[in-house]
Amino acid sequence: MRRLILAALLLPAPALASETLLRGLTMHLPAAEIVLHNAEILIDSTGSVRCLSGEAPRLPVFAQAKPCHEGATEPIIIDFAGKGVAIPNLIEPLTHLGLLEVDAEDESTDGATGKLANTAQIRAIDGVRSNSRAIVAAQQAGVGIAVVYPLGNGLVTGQSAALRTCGGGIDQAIIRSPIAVHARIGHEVKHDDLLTGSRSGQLAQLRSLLGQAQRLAKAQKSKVKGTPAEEQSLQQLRDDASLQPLVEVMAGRLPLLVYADNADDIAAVLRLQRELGFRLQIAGGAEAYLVATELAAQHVPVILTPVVARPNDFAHLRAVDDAALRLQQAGVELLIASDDTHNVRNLRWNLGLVVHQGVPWAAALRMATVDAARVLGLEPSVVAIAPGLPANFTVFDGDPLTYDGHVVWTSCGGTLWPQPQQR
Amino acid sequence: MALVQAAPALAMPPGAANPPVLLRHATLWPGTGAVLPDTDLLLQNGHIAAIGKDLPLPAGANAIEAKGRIITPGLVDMHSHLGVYASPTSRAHADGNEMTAPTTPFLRAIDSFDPEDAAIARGVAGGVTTSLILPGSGNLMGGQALYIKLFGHTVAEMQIPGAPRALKWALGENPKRVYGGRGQLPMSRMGSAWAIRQKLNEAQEVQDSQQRWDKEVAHTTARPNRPDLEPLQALLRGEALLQVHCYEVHDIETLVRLSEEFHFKVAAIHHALEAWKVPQLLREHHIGVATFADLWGFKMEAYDASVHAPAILQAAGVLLALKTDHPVVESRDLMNEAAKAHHYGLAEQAALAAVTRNPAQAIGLLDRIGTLEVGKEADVVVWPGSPLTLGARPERVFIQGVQVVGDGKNLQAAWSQAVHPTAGVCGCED
Repeated sequence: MRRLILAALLLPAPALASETLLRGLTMHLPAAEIVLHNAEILIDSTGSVRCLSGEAPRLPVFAQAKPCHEGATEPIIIDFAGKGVAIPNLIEPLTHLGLLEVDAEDESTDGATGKLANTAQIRAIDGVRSNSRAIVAAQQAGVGIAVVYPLGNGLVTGQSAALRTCGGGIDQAIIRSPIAVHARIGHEVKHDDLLTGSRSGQLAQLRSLLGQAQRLAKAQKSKVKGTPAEEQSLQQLRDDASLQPLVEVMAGRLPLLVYADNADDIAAVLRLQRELGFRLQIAGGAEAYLVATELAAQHVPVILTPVVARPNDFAHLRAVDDAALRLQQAGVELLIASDDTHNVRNLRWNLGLVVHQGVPWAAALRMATVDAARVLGLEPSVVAIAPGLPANFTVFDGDPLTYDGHVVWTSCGGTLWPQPQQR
Repeated sequence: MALVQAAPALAMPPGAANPPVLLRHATLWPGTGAVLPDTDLLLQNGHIAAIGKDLPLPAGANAIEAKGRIITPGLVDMHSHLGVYASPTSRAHADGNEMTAPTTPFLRAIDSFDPEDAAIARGVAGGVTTSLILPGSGNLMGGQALYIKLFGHTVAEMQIPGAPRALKWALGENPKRVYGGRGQLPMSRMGSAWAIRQKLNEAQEVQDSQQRWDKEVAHTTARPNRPDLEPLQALLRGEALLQVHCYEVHDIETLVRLSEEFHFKVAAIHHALEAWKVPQLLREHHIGVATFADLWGFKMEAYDASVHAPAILQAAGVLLALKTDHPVVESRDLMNEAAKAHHYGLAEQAALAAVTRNPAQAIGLLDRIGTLEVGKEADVVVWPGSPLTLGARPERVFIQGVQVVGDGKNLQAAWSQAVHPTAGVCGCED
């Protein structure tokens, strides 16, 4: 009996016997660029949104003016009395969630930490532990999707994956893998490997790896057979599992995400992109604002993390307090990451700091919803709130991008959590 | 020998030489729990000279209209490594941990402190006016703390004269990771407790032998003297405040056992992410807590944290402080720790007290700083609105009556920028 009670406390709302109606909401729908006032949302017994109603200058086709409660049959009613603010669950674009449970305990973490420069064959998805407390903390704070990238101190560390934080095993959580191949330039990568030990060496090595991958990608497309010697050398490259993900990059099917903070390092990677041509994304980006023009011209998105970097490292002595604003104003496609694993729950406040810098509120919300889905190659529906889709949104009792807003209700993949908790 | 280049002198020494400042029509959050609307605050001779409605403007005083502003005491960061891990991060300036022996109570943070750390100017831009600079937690007994105000060119100018003595210890994971990893004592918590007990026994023996010597009429030997143990003797005499890195319940219990065995007091446990589980134990032993608002998970002793801890501890009557552990959290974000704790249920004025009044008490300076009260040192922060909001930064910061930050200037940044010409060091708002 006691065990049953405990279990009940830890679980979300019991399997839905009936419909749930949320009312008294202001509902932000960034995918439709609409804010519904006096909104109601009806969720059916399977956890899917059945009806969306509210007031807006122009209603989207999937929302109605007639209040949802008029079509509901004895629903559980939760009335937020006009004070509820609903937003789609956010996308955290860069985290070790599930790979890093207790940082200092190797037994609880996963990732390559040897001396190999290229471990692109490693897939974050294969190391994620789905029962991570940090995943629960993120989900209970309204972060519904996390892009998990491999730990490691190599040059190319592996492939990231997009996961839902809604619970269940990895096969239920996975949205897409791989999302990108991850690399890093900077002193964090420095180790005894002759080339990888320096930033110039890292660039040389990256150029060499991408060059080999480019050769393989071209050979894939070509119908002409090479000489036996050429075929033999190609086969050697094909047999190298760590090159295959980079072939995907050079064939244009996957982006290469390079983590770099220093403006000159970023400029070097941009040169490499011009030289070889591949889809590039920059993460970190403390000094990226200094090369914002080039980033915008080359259509390279930046995943800024942390939002406010400190000038406390030789790699980013030129960090400023308004980097997000500068990048946004220069036309750089910008995503925001929490720069954390255990505090992915603070992603919304990182967006709030972007607002604090002067970026419009709606633009900041898009960065962790619509823009994130587009840059990461996810379906727009993952951040939509509309009839027919599983409930994937969170209600706050105030502005979610400030400390005024507390999480008061959340749902994830159609599972409802009427009393979300942070430990 | 002529100086090639004269060292710049402080723009204005804190204290008497400055004109009085009258801040008018502000809302005061004095750190005592009260809220005083439409109140004036007079800073004179480095101290708070008057608080009240419509105070007269003294001759030669600067009047500053502060209607709509909130004024708080200068923030007190009771766990900071400013200056001992100077920014930017470098091996050359990593001076906070003498990890060559597990018990080094004789070391002094003042001997490592780099007054040109660029982060000091950023800290004061965040409203921090006082910091307790601690040695790191690699050693069981890390050394002696340094009390500073965040304004000055040299450590002599920053050091708070007449401040108490404070010792830094560390229990838990760090010392046993450092020394156990080398196959040395302590490799376990048993080893840690023994190493501490052994040192305290030695200190007690020296203390006893000195007392016997002092009672002798004629001396046949020199007075016993162990400079390496003298700080521990001060602790045993009740003349030093003990600040202990201590996270988990079993470490807290070990510390309490040691304190009962050797009759010393613990001023506060630091980080203390499991303190929320044993608030009664802490209250009974008058042990304060200096903690983070929401950091967790970086090691086992940080795995069982609760965002509700500050509210739980406060409600249980434990002396509660929030701190940065700079550079773990940046010094200038101390108020943000209070803001997050407030979000998670710590009452507004309790959140303010956790970064002003309470840490001032826990470091033994409440008679001088920590609240806005007449006679206290004029360490004062003017905020454009509630300091407990996301991204809040001070408009003005005064240290002993000198405006260090405000009007687009940061006097402290002048020093660190000369050494480290970095953008963003000012932290001034517009």
